[in-house]
Amino acid sequence: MRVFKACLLVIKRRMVTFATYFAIFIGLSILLSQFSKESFNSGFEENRPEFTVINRDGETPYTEKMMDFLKEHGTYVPLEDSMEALKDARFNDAVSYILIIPEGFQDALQKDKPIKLLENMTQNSASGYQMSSYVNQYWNYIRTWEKIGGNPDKEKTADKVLELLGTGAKVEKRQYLKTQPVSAGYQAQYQVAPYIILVICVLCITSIFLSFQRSDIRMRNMCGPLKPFTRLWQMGLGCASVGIVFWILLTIAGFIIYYDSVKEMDIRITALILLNSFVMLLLAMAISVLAALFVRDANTQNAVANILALGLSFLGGAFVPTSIMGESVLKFAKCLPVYWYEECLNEISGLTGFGMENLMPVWKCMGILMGFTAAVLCITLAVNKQKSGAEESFGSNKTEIEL
Amino acid sequence: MIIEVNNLVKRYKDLVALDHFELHVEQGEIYGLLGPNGSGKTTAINCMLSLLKYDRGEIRLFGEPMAPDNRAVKQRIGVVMQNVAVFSELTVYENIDYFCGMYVPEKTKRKALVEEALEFTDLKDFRKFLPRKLSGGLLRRLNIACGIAHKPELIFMDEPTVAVDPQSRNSILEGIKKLNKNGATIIYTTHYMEEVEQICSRIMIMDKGREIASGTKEELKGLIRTGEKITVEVSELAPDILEKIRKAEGVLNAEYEGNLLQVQCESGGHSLITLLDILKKNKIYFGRIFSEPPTLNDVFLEITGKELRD
Amino acid sequence: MFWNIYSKRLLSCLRNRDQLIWIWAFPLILATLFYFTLSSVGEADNLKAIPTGVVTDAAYEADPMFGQVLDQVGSGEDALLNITEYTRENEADRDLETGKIAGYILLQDNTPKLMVKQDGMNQTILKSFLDRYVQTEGNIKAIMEKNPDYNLNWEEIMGGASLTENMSLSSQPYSPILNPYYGLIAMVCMYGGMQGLMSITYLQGNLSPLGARRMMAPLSRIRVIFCDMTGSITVHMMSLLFLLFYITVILKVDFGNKLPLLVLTCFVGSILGVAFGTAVSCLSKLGESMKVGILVSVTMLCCFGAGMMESSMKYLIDQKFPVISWLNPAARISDALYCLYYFDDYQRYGQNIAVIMAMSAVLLLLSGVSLRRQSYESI
Repeated sequence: MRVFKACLLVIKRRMVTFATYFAIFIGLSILLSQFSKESFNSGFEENRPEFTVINRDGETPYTEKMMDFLKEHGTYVPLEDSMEALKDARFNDAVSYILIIPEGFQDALQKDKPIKLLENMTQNSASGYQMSSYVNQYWNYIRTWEKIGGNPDKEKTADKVLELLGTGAKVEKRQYLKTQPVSAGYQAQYQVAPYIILVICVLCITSIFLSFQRSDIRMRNMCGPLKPFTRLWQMGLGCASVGIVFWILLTIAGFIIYYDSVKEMDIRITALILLNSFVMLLLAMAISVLAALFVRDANTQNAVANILALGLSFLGGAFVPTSIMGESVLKFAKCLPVYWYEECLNEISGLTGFGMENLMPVWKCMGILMGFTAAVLCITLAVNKQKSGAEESFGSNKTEIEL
Repeated sequence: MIIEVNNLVKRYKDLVALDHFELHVEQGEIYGLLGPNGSGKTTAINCMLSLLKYDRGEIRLFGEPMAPDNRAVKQRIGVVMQNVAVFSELTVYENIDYFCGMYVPEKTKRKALVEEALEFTDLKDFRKFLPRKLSGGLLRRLNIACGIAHKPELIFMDEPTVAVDPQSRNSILEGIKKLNKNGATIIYTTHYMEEVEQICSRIMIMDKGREIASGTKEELKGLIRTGEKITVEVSELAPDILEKIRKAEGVLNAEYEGNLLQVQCESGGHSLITLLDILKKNKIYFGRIFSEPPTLNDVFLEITGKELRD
Repeated sequence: MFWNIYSKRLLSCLRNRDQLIWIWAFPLILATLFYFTLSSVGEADNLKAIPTGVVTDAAYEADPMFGQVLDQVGSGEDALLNITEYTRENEADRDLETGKIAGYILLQDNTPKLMVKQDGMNQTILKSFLDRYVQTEGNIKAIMEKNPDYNLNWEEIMGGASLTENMSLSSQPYSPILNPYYGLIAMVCMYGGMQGLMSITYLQGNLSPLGARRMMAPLSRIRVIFCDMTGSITVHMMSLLFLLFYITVILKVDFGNKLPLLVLTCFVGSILGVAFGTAVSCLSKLGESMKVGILVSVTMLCCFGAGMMESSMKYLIDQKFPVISWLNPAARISDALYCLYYFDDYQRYGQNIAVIMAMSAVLLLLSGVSLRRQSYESI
């Protein structure tokens, strides 16, 4: 088991790098889990778009009640009445709807041509549409009820309108599973997991290969009495055990960070999520071995690790959900393994039962992921075959001082 | 007097790297600093170049006190560092041109100088090579070319032949002699005594930051009692005869081992004749005879009690 | 002399493979990834017809008014709903389970009831549509009660005339995808630190043998530093212009139309980056890999704060900790670019540029002080 031990030693030497990546990942996970402290709710919750209201017309019962009404359906973000503040907030998506009540608006309400309210939102956006229709509805009701009542008390009119707007349709949230669904945070952690799995696997495995592929060590190994196959499978064992240890760490970290939600989830769903990530790990290891055949030095190693991991994860939907990608990008993404991992994760989190019919899409995605793994391994073998055997030359094998 | 170093003291915390070091070099010399690793040669050079601060002492180059901003003096100096100091992204030609350009702004003049340096170090065929493609010997030569291209009057060479194959080393040494012949004064540090013996006009042997002896190599060898070492092939030698040889005039020590009789003699005497007389009188037949003059290693050994290279 | 140092510096930068990867190729790849994945982010919140089920049982048939309203919102080009009719509730329920529809509506006691599987924007719109139906019904009833003679016009029944009109905030359209690109450009600017680091390492006798050799040259150090820096900044500008060209011309991302000022921002940004690297490399106690580590991690941290990874981060820090935001060089660069795009005046842009220049000056000054030393305790 010399080779195996040497593999572990190589990993130990570079532990700091791996630990840094892992620690940053876990740190961000914890940070995000703190931000999104969602509690599961069995009732229906509306989406509450962020909005802001700039009132240039003076506080009246009308505007006050309007705020009450809008706050029921949206999240109010107070902003100062300056173009700069509004621009900043809109550009950075801090509000999706801005309403400005211009001076004299309420006085002109009953005229044939009322002064219009000013609104700013992204064209054709759902949340903008939503807030805009609430605003229109409210002021139209005010208009109607002012007309009906002659010249009534503003306070009363507004109360009446609010009462009318307080009614609504019933909503029921169907629950198909007895247990809680997958918590958004836990799912998000597994959504971005391919990145960290890929980075760590590529770094680990290329490190191992780098030290064994260095031409002088290769020369020595080739002269050694060990069968190449023995050496290879011991290296494989080394890579695999490192990968599995890392996977276990990742799993445990997930359990600890999301303990509250994981304990309420169906154990079968948790198991499927873990299985999915394990298949992803296998794929990542296959990709890493392939990458290792091309990596020649520490710098290409870092570049390859980051570019591979970022590229595959980005395009596969690990960072930006596939649901908001364009058509053509999606077509391309389907050719990438990470896409199928994310699909599988989505299917699992949306599971409503464990019948054959329910699980089929999950197995399908996992199957495709395995297929990718097998394909990458085949390519690796083919490339390796081409490269192995006696060398043409050992490249620029230097025996002298390095610069 | 081109270099004057008086009473130089340099400490690294508790370690005294230079202990009241003195050095005086005349124009046209190749001055060798010889000593084992860690004896303070490189520190001495770096202090003379004002790269290092020192605790006490005075350094004058070309009669002027040396300081980091004494550019007039720097203009006349060339440096060949112990480590290869070239840009790995620039070709051989570009590297030499770069460093030469720091001394010689005129383009045409510089071009000629760079060509000359290429010629001198025999790197002409490699001008377009990047340093990483060069072998160790070539790299060392590039290192030297970068230091001497601007034709300095005074060249500091700090172990320029470390890790160089014997052939390249010889050509480097020849080159240094040629530089000297063209008028450059050279300070040369090494721990290879053969090199020093081969090229240096004067030598200082250093140990632990101090001068232990200096002078021409003949003077140095004259300092010690040990003279030539005589080796005689003898098929048989009785112990009483060996004892006689040991007691003979001018003989310091004698050993007999595996058919070889080794006799260490005092310097100055004609010990060979005495030895052969003794052998002849005792009817001992002998084969080949070698006589070696003392080396600087012997000088070092006798003064410090240890080998120059261990 | 200037040309000699400057040109060789350019050459050696352009031939350095690591730099080629990290400063030229890596940002390009990131930009491409951003382009692909962000291309439709703007449409994520777009109003699309919501797949909705309706259970057409006896109760539904008994309320023709509701059916009429559904027909209206479910037809036409800008239909709000995409309606599927189910005769039985369990059929609708199965489609809800598989996610084919966002929710289904059934009538109970003459009021509509919505069945959904999860929370979400589509479900919210569905609910508010039904709410409005119920409210309008209530409204008409209340009006009739209060004033039976009131002449209700059709417009009022359908929710009334539009009282709002759209107002634009800037001459440029809102674009949710720009922040990551701005962060990316800020990152490349900060990567100029590598150039600064290299310059100083090659200049200082105690950092490299090359530095020692260069210190022996009869040139004033200020001049050598100046030539080197100019070279560094030139190379860095080239990579930034290349990236800018790639993003705006090849990927056709709209950065606004103030090209000269964009270039100026990149220029000032790369000076800042180089100055940053210079300052870090003056921490002579640390090893080189440590310094590179500091450069990269500080850069990444700053870019995180500037919204490269999470585009709302910059605004959040701007609001909560304005001082930190003003001290974050990457945030300033990204903010300057944003001002160029979204603001029609130059006041805030000018402030940003001034802050960036001030930061560069401070960093350069600090490095200058520590570089003045020309002999070392040890090499």
